[in-house]
Amino acid sequence: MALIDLYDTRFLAIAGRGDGLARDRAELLRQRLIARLVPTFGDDPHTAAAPAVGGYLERAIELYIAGFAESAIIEADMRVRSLLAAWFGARDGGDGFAVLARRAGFAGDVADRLIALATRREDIDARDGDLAASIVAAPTRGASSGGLAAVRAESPTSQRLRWSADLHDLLAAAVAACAMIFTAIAQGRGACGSTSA
Amino acid sequence: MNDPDVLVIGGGPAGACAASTLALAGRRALVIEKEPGPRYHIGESFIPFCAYPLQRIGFLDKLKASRFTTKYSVVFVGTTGTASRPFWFHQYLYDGASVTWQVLRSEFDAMLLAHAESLGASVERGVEATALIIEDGAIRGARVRGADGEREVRAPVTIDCSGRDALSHRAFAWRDLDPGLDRFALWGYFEGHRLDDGVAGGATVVASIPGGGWFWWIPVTDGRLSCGVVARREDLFVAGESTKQTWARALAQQPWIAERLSAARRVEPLRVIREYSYRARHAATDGLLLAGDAFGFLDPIFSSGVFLALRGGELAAQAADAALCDGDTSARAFAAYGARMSGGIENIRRFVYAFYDKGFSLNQVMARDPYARADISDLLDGCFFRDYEDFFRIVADSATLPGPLSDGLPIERAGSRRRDVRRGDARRGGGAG
Repeated sequence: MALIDLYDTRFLAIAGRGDGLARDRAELLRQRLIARLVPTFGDDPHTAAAPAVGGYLERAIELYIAGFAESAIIEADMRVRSLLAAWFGARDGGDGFAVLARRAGFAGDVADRLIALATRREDIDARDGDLAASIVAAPTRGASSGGLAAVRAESPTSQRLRWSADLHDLLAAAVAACAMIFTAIAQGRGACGSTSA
Repeated sequence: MNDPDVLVIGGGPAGACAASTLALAGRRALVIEKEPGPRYHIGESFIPFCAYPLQRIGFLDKLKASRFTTKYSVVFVGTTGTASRPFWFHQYLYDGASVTWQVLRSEFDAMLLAHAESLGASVERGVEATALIIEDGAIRGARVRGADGEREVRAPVTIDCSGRDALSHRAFAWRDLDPGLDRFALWGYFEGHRLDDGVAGGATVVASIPGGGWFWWIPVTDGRLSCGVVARREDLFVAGESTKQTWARALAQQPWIAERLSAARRVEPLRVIREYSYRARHAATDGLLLAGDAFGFLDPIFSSGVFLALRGGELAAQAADAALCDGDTSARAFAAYGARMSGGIENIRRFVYAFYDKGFSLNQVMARDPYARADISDLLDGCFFRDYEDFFRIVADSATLPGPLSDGLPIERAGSRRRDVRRGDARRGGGAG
């Protein structure tokens, strides 16, 4: 498969250098990419799916395969968020991410998956903010020590497992979304229109 | 078709793209091509921006459906055999053009010319232009010779796409050679070579050798490899040596290429050509535009030739169409075309000069400027028609860059040299188109 050959060449080599879990993650993402890209773009590397996989979201995919789930979420969300904002431009610049994601016109569950990705990014930001606040604020509230455990009920390990549970599918949806936006931009369209991704 | 709106001399990429563009604009275009059928041509490697003019003339889907090798990247190899990280086109170009092709030119050129014909352009194969028709200082078509004899084809605009041996060059001696880019190429075709796995196997590889020369490595169709060496005459050839001996000596200087060819067999004779870059001093005159190799040829290191031919043919056709709309086919109407083409060629020409400069290093430039990698990728992609002044200011710190070769602007009343046309034609016996 020509389009997926691109993924295999660019990313399976990274997975091969890692442990079995890295290879499993690479394979999970590969299957989701096939499911999300091929129905829309075919097996065609001469589409915007190639730069979406191999260029625009390249770093997010590398981070995910290497096991850096939180970094992959931040990278992918930043990329999608930037692209949507740039595409809609000043006209809709004041709208929130969810509004833009829905306005983009993705069919199926792509917009929902992008919003889920954005929610995880916000959770990561919130946790980091809580961590900082707890260090600063806890002593003033009479606590003997600060730190994450003082203010959060959910353990970091639990958070990580929750955030990375279906990350392969969120990343595949992000790739599909970016490819559809690139296509719409190239065709001068203001929305992605009907797709099956 | 005896009286087209536009006569296109030459049926290569520039001529076929010009004719297709004209046909889509509703113009009657006649292409005369001196070869009766497909012919060998070097220049097999495309760059991504080839996709845009091909898409605009509706040819891209035919290319996608072809069996040509898909090219995703360019790799540079140093004299010691160490390969760079690939310049993946899709890392910087976010549309379907980010993947391009390595083609057999005989097949590609024939496909593209047939496409022009399918759009409504008339094509006469096996017909050559022997002289331009000049009236009152303006070009009004050409005399052509085919199996049915010789005749005049009159047209308000003629686009000369007749290649290196261009009719207009022989007529007006407009060609300015680029003295810093006088090279020779020695090449052959191989099978059984070692390719990298997956999409990396379609890459063009540019592998340097000591003394400023380089090898090209282009995997063309059907498991065949085009591989050649380019260098100055004095660095490439030794008196009394056969081409086989020259090839073996050059190969011994580049370990990356030598290792991958160690089990390969050559399937065609070695070929030699002089690759002397040039540009026409004038891109146009009254009633005449030059495109493709007829306008200019640039050292092939960055595979820019086919794209410049396609884009030049397209722009020339657009200029011709606009001139016909305005009823003014004088040189003035083509000024923007000449300026645009020359500006674009100058960008990639400066990059070629930098590559050959011993003080220049891609890695050092990229280390100095975070945007340099994107600039380099744009140049490798074919984005020639934009401002690179910031980039070349940095490059100029480590490489000597040339001034513009010539302005490429049109000249009015080129036909004052009509006698030269006739003499040149008689001396050489014609043969363009």
